[in-house]
Amino acid sequence: MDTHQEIQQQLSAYFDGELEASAALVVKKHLLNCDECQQMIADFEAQQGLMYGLKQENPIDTWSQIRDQIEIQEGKLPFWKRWAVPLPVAALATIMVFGLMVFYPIPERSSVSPINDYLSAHAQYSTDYSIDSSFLNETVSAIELDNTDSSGDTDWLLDAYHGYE
Amino acid sequence: MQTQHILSIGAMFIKKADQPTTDLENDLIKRCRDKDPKAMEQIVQRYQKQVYNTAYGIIGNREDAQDITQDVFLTIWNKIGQFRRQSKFSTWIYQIAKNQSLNLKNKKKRRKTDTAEIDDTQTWVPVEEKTPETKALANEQQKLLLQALNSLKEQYRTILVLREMESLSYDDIAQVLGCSVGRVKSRLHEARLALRTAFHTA
Repeated sequence: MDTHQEIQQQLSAYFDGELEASAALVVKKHLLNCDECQQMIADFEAQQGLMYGLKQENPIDTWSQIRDQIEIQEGKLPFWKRWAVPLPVAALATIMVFGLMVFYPIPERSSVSPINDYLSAHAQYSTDYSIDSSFLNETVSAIELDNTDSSGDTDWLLDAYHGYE
Repeated sequence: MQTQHILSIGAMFIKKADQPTTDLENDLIKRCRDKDPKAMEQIVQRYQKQVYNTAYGIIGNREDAQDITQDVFLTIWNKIGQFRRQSKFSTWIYQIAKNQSLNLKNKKKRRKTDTAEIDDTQTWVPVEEKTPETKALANEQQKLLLQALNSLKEQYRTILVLREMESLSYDDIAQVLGCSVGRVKSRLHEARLALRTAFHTA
């Protein structure tokens, strides 16, 4: 004889119609006189109804998105779709760059080279302290021959002139 | 009367999804292997609701469920050659949906970004339309149900989704989960009891 506990273990399968006929008959008889097991079955039914109620239609058009992915994979995406995203992005970027150029114009760079900058800047200095022009010309020629990077030339030139290097 | 009603419940949910792979499905599978997008479209139309709801039931978030749905069908498109007909086609699809949903969920857990797994802030729109009164009550109950589901172990939640939402037979659930029918039987019972307790607590 199955006990109450043993029958309770079978209630789910009974509820789902997954019990053998003989086992189902035992549970069925038990249920007629057991309020607790009847309540359990009723709760299972309510839970099932609620969970079934969670089912929904997928709100998005899955196929159109999958089709696009498949076409990308297979290299079959139409021309207009391939450029549907990058083209507007590129256009927007171009507009932004032009906008920046209009509202924040880049200051014109001096056409004078750094060496000439140095010469002009120190014209006054030369007159005041009588620069040795032969030293200056030699050094300038050396820098122009080198002509790789003149960014630190003026500092070096001043140091050289004053005998620091 | 009530007892009669209760006793008839068992017969109401017998193996709804237990149909073999049909000729139409076989045709779709074959065409899909030959990379026919029209066949794939039909497969999507036939199974997207099941995949979406399985993912939603397991993950508890609509947007993630939509992403998973897409990923599942792309996987089917790319790996349909690996379908060996050892199970039904629908079972194979459920298996992919379950695996990808659990993978995403575990990934999110590891990153600890998913603080609220269940998206219960939105109003539910059940498939079957109801009157305003019953709708309000159902929404409240479903909110409680979601809280309860959220507190369950992963394996309980998954098996409940497959049985209660998708109405899969024990055989199919066993194939999807990769376990015996006996294990399905006992785990499902444990899951229902756990949900019952959690539901009353919530």
